[in-house]
Amino acid sequence: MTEKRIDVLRKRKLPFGVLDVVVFAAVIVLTVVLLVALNRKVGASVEIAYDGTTVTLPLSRDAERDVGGHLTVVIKDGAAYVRESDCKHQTCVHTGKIKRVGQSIVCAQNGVVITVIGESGLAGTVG
Amino acid sequence: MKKKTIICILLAALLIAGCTPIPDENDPFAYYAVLPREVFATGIEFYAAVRGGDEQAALSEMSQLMDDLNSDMSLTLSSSALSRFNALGAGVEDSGDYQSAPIEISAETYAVIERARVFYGQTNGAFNIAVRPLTALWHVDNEGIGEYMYGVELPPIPSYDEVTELLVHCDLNDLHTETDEGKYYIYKTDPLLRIDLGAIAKGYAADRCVAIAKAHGVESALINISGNICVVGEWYHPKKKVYVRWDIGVNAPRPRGGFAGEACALSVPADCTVVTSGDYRRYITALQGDTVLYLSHIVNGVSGLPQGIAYDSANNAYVQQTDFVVSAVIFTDDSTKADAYATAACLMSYEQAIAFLREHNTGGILFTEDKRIAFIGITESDESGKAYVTQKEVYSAYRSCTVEEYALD
Repeated sequence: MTEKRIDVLRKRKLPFGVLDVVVFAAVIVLTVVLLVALNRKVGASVEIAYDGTTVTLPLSRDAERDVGGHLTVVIKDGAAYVRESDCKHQTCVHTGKIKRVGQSIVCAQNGVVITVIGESGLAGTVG
Repeated sequence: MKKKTIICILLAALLIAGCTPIPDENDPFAYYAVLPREVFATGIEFYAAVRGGDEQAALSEMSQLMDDLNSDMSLTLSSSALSRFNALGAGVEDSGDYQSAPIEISAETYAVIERARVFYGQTNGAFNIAVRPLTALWHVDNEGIGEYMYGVELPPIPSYDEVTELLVHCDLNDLHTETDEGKYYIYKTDPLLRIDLGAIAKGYAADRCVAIAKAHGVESALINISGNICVVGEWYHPKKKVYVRWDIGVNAPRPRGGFAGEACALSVPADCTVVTSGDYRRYITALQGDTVLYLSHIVNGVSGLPQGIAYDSANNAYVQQTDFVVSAVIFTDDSTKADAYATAACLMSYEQAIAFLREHNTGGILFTEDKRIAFIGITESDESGKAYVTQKEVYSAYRSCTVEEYALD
C-alpha cells in the first residue's frame, strides 16, 4: 500500500458512506416487516371440511380422525397433518404439518379442506 | 463510561420486565382468578373464573361445595346417600305395601329433590329423576358413555315388554321426603325405585357457586360445569379491558360426537345462565337386526324410550325418529330450572317444546334432527333481544337449517 492510501484510510472515520447506511437501514426494515408479516399466530383448532359438514378439533389434544374413509388426519403436539390418503397425487400428505392460523391442507380429489383457525374469542361454550 | 452504564441499566430493566407474567390476551379470563378441576369423579369438568372481591376464598368455597354435593349425590360412590338409597330394597318383591328405611340426606340434596318434584309436575313427567332403572336397562346410565364405549360388543336392546314392566317402577310418587328436627330423610315405597340427580345437579351447583361468588363480593364471574354456564356481572374483556356482554358459544349437535364446533355464538347480559342438553355427546349405538339405533342418555319417563326413539307396535320394533329435538339450549336466570327444562325439552316434540318454553317465559334455542332451529326469546335477526346471536360471519353451521324466531311476551 502507498502512503497516500494509508493516509486516506486513517482520515476516514468509518469504512462506509451515507448511501450505505440508507441501504443497510432499508434492509433491516424490510427484514423486520417480512418477519412480522410471516409470523402468524399459532392456531387453536383445526377445521376439517368434507362433504358439506365441518368438524372442528382442538390442536391441544392429540387425536386421529378418519375423514370419509379416504384420508386420516393426525393431530400431534399442536400440529395437524394428513398421514395417509387414497388420492392419486398425495399432495395432501406431502403438505406436511400445519399449525399457524390460515394454513391449510387441501385434498382436491377427495374434496377435503383442513384449515387452522384461531381462538374464537368466546368466554365459554355450552353443549 | 456513562453511556455504557445507561445501556446496562436499560438491558437489566428489559430483562426484569420480561420476567413478570404478562396476561395472555387470547385467554378470555386473563384478568380473572380461575379454578379448573374435575368434579363428581366422572370426568365432568368444573371451571370457575372470578374477578373482584375475595377471589381465593370464593374459589375454595366453591371447590368445597362440589365435594360436599358429590359425597351426598354421587351414584359412583357406594357410600353416598343416594347410592345407599338406591341399593335399598334390592331383591325385595314389590308387594304394594313395601316401605324402605329412611336415609338421611343433606339439606342441598333435599332442596334439589323438592325442585325436581316441581319440574316433574310442570313438564308432565318428562323430567323425571326416577328414570334411573330405565337408563340402566337401555345401557345408557354410565356417566362416561360414548359411542365406542362398548367396542364391537354392542349391548342388547331391551324388549318393549321389559320397558313397560320397568316403567311402573319409575314413578316419582314412590319417593318420599321427610324432615325431622332440622334433618332430612328420603324413603321409598317401591323396592325398585332408584333416583339420579344428574340431570339437575349441575344447574343447582352452578346456582350455589354464583351465590358463593356474590357473598364474597365478586364483581364478575363465569361458572362452567361441563357446559352448564352461569355468569355474574359482565365480562372483563382481556383485549378491550372494559366490561362487555358475555359471548357464549353454542355447540352444533350434528354431526354427533361433540366435535362439530360451534353452531352460533350468543351475546348474553349479566347474571344469567345458559344450559344445554342433547343427544350428541352421551349416547351409544345398538343393533336392531341390521339397523343401527342411536340411544341417547336422556330417557323419557312417560314412554320409557330414549330421546328420538319411538315404538312401532305393528312390527314390534323401535324406530329412530327423524323430527325430534336433538338439543335444547335454555337461557334464563335460574340454572337449576334451566338444567331441568333442557332435559325436558329434549323429550318433547318441537312444537310442544316451543309452547312449553313460552308458557314458562323461558328463552332458548332448539335444534331438531331435520335441521330446524327455533330461537325463543333470543333474536337471530338483530340485537334487540335480551340475548342475541353474534359473530354471524364466523359460524355458518346453522346456515343449512331453517331458522324460526319466537318472541317471549
